[in-house]
Amino acid sequence: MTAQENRGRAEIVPALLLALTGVYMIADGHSLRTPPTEGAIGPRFFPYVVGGALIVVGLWLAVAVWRGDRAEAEQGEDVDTQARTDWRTLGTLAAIMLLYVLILDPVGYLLSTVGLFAGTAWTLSARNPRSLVLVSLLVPFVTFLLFTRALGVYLPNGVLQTVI
Amino acid sequence: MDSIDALIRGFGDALTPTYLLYALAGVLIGTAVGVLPGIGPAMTVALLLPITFTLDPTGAFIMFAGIYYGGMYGGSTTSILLNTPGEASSIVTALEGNQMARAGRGAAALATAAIGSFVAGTLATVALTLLAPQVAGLAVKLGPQDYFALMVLAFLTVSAVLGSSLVRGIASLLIGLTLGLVGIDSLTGQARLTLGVAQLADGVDVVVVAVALFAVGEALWVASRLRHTPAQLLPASGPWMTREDLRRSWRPWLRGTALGFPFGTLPAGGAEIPTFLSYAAEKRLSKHPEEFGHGAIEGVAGPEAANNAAAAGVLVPLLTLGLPTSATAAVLLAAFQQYGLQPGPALFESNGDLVWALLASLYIGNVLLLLLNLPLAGLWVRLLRIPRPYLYAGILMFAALGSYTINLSAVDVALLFAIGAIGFGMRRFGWPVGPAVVGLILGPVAEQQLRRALAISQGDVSTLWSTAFSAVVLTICAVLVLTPLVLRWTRTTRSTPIPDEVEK
Repeated sequence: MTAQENRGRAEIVPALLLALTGVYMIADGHSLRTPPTEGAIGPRFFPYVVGGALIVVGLWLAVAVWRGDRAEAEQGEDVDTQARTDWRTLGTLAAIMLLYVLILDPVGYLLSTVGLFAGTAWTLSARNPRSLVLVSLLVPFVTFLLFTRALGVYLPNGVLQTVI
Repeated sequence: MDSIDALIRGFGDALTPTYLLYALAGVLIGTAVGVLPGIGPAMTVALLLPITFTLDPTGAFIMFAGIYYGGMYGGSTTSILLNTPGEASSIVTALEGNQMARAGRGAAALATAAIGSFVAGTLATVALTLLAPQVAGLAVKLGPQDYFALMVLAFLTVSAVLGSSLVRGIASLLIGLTLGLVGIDSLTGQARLTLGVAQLADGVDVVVVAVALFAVGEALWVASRLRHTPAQLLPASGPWMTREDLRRSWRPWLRGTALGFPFGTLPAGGAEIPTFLSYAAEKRLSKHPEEFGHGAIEGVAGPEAANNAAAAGVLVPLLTLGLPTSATAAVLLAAFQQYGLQPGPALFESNGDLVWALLASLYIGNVLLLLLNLPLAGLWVRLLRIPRPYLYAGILMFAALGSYTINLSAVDVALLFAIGAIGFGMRRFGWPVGPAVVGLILGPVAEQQLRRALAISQGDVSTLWSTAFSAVVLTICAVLVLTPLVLRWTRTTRSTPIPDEVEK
């Protein structure tokens, strides 16, 4: 069984999410006030139009998927089109990203980015310990130096404040 | 000849040692990043935006000219040697180029692509230089209703052309329009769709969205289905272009340019269509049609030239109207906005020096590309061997860095990853990403123009088609929308419905 068949009707979920976003957008637009100085349509009009279009297109897509319409998933050099979605890898990556956002400011750019890089590479099955450590230390460090020293961009030092 | 003088002054600006260095750096980095598998031109430009943040605008745009052409060129190396094009406009190059590499003629394929890119890029830049000031001169006379009509046209064509499924193209466009609505309404100061989050009041940064959809979305998508046995990499071997190759290449280069540039200037989604047309034309005109499918050099030379000529053509509506017609152009527009510049007819007057320096550096970038790429092809090939775990870890790292540096805020990094998840979902279900970026950038402008037009007319809707220009453009829009509907209607009434297509 290929991934294509396996994908089934899952696309109905994002289609309905689109429609729901449209409902929310119209509700949100409803709370806006149109000042008398603003000519004809005011700030509500666009949310109404986009929200309405979201509902129509979301439902249209949901029905189309229900009736068997599928688009081809995106191709790429490194994408195995036969494979199933690897939810474990995705979950680990999501956790790494969430952690990164949380520790970026308190811990500092350099250390958190070493963590992000090493974590991502490990999750994508870089298993040679020596190159994993070496690359994960070197790449963020060089990037940090390039941006802070050569390009003059501020990046948080965090816990390394006294050292850097 | 005003524009010739202006161009010479532009060269004067761009040829200073510092700016030449920027141009060289842009071409080098752009090609290197563009060669990396999985990274198309739009993503190259988006990922490299933060590098230019600390430069002055002229320096930044000179570097961008290099990155833009370098990224375009880099993609062809990938498709010739890996046979898995990152984006639609390289598919055709992959068809014949990969067959050539398989037959041990990789070096000749890379050379015809490089020289073809140079010829097409230079000729198309000449056309751009001649055409852009004229279009800008005409565009000054356009009113808000004309702009609104143009944007409706761009929305329609971009959703229809980028991607294979119309409804998914529109869905993608609407995601972009939705993200574009987030923030304070500029005319009345009321918050829209901010979910009560203070940081969203300024809206979602275009660069964050572009990097999220292209880079993070791609990294997650690849991570979910990583090919554990890497695609076969062919050597760039064999003799360099022979006299025979050159004889067979020069006409396709010129024809590809002639096809690519006009299509690039139309609001119809960039380079895909002209590359396919060029391939078809070369196949028909060739004296060796039997070689097509087995590595015909015309099939590399023509489409590659068309691709690069279209890339220059796309800059015509971008610079003169502020209308991005491809995903890459949308990211370029975001770069302009980052510097507080709004591309459009006024740009030629208000920032003329900058525009002409940019145009001059397009010529310089093209020459640098040719000088660099013929000897460095072997080095670029080595980039294709970067182990994938490190490649995608690096992409994520750079995406996060770029988003952080915009406002020095971890909130933007959180947004980056969240929108990256949307980008993953879009790839999984085959929703094209390009329309979302175009919608995000053009949506707020379209709303502004619409409200301006209606404010001038005091609410009279007929103002939207009151000028000849807007009426013509809206008629084209109507034809585009109605033709497929009518076709479908006649088809279904004539015959029994076709059974639903089942995927293989």
